[in-house]
Amino acid sequence: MTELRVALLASCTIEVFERPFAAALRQRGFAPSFWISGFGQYQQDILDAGSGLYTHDPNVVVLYLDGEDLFRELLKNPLAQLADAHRTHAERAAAELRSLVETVSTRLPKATVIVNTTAVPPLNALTGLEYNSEYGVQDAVNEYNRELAAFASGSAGVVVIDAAGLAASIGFERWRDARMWYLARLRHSRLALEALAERYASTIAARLGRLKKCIALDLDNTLWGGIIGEDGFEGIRLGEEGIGLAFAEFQEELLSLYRKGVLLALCSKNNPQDALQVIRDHPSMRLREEHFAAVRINWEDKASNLRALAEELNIGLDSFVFLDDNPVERTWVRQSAPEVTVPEWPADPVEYKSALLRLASEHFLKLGITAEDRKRGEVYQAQAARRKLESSGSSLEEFYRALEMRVRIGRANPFTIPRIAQLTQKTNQFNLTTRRYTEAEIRASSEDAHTEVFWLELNDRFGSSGIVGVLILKEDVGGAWTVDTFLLSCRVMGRTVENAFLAAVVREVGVNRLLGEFLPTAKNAPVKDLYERLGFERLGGPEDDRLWTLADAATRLEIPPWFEITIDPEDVRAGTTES
Amino acid sequence: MNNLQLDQRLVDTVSRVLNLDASSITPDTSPRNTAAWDSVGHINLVLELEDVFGVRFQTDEIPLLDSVAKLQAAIGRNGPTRVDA
Repeated sequence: MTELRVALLASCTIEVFERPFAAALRQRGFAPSFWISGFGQYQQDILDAGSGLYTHDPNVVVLYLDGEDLFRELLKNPLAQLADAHRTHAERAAAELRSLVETVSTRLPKATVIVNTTAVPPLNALTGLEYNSEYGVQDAVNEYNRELAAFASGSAGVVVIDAAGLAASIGFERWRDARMWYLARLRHSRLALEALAERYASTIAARLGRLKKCIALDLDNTLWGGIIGEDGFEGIRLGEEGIGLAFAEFQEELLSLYRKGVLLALCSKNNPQDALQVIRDHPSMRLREEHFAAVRINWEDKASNLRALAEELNIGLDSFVFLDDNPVERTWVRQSAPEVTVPEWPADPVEYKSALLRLASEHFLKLGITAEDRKRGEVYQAQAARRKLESSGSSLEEFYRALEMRVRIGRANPFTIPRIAQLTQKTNQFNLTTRRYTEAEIRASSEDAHTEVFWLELNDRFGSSGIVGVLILKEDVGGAWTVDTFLLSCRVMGRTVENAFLAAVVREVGVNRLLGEFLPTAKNAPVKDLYERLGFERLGGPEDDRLWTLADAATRLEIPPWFEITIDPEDVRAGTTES
Repeated sequence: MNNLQLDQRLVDTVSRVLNLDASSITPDTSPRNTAAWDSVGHINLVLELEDVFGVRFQTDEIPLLDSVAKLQAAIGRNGPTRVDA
């Protein structure tokens, strides 16, 4: 369980939110502790530097402002003012929010602040007049939401939750409980509180990198209706009408996830030729062979196949979500591979799309897309090509040279900070210290005078891997540097990239004495002896693997000859090899 | 004192929501003798009981449900919620 300090501030009653929110956070592996602002006190608590908000030192600040509170004056007498006055009201509300959030971010630079879009009751005195006349309030609400989004997208520490969208998907009538408003100034029904709790918790989990990475899919009755081995190519239901269209649109949603950087894998009991013929040739398939990062189409049990997929993709079984129409298969996998998330699945294919969207809003809730995300699918194709080359029997050195590796390194900047934070959150194997950082924390480190944050991008003959390495060094008062974070994506392990990275960085920074730390975890045994291999000496006893030292590092560490290294000047945009 | 027989689901819900030992819950358990049963606890109890029992309390009676005995009586009085309530 990860400790998480949360602050709750709101324009309406929010204490009641603590209970469902805490439960949703615990379910995702967090141990939350809360500080809650007094009723109607959010401005005071933010502006007062001595308030409990700051003493609590939260990792997450939830600032929930409800539309009916922000636009109370407009809603009370909606016919009194016209559109221009409404826009002024919205701009003022947005400006106040911006100022409050900036105050919080300045005083709590490492915290993530979560703000929300607002809605007003869709049924109100202006129904009919809205959009048909000069009377309306939606323009004010939309203007506020627009300014909120603009401000948030420019701030690494701010995340927006679309509470208005959540209310719309549940239905505003079920979002409110009139009794609770009049008795306790609570703007939410129980259903609303639970939906918000799930969404806020999923957002925080997403922010800290706890997203799933791969959807493993069955084929028959999951990607198409019917069984290819029995119904044949012409007999399966996949097309542009009716149930066939339901399957095609389900595939389209999966394709959207692929484009967001989610991996798709296949896990099906079939003859490979039958299945691949549909995937390659069926005119209504939206997903093709190139969209699947790995496939297991055979007659073995699915739990074993999932384990094999995990190994091939080099990700944990706990990064998988498995979808199968067959409840027997689902039960089998839940029992034999309990790390895999196996959601219940609707019996009717017309519901597949919405079931997928709901599970995506929990397990694949991307808050931003990096260039790496967009290229991830192709990258896995290139990995397969590299593996073929590696197994073609040449010596290791010949293999490294044949890859024609070009390394770019550079200091963190606003373009690279999201990917750097993402890597610190996701990387487990080649990770010496496994320290997890948010974007806000990386930004703060990159601005610190005694800290250096470097990224590494690797390109080779087969393409670009994108940014795949992070090195964070901290200088102590004596002028020695310690490696706070040293990680590489598992895709680029086993190619001596780590040698090149560390050597190039220490030369760029001008490091003499270098200290390394190894903090063992269940997954990083592969790098237990990394510092030893790089020529460091133990600081502790002969059996102590945790602290290492190297004098004269800039001279002693060598860059292997099969790399071409470039160092980016600080204002160059990286990770955008969109060739 | 009350020797009212308490519904087990009611006891479990009160125990879970207010973080109390189930064995300590009696018909007389109330905000006056239970620190955890503050105004927030009261709302949490009401919402949870509505969900567990499929009932809907009247607005006027909610503030008056100030003991486990009264909660039990109110659950009995109110039928299951309408599907589109």
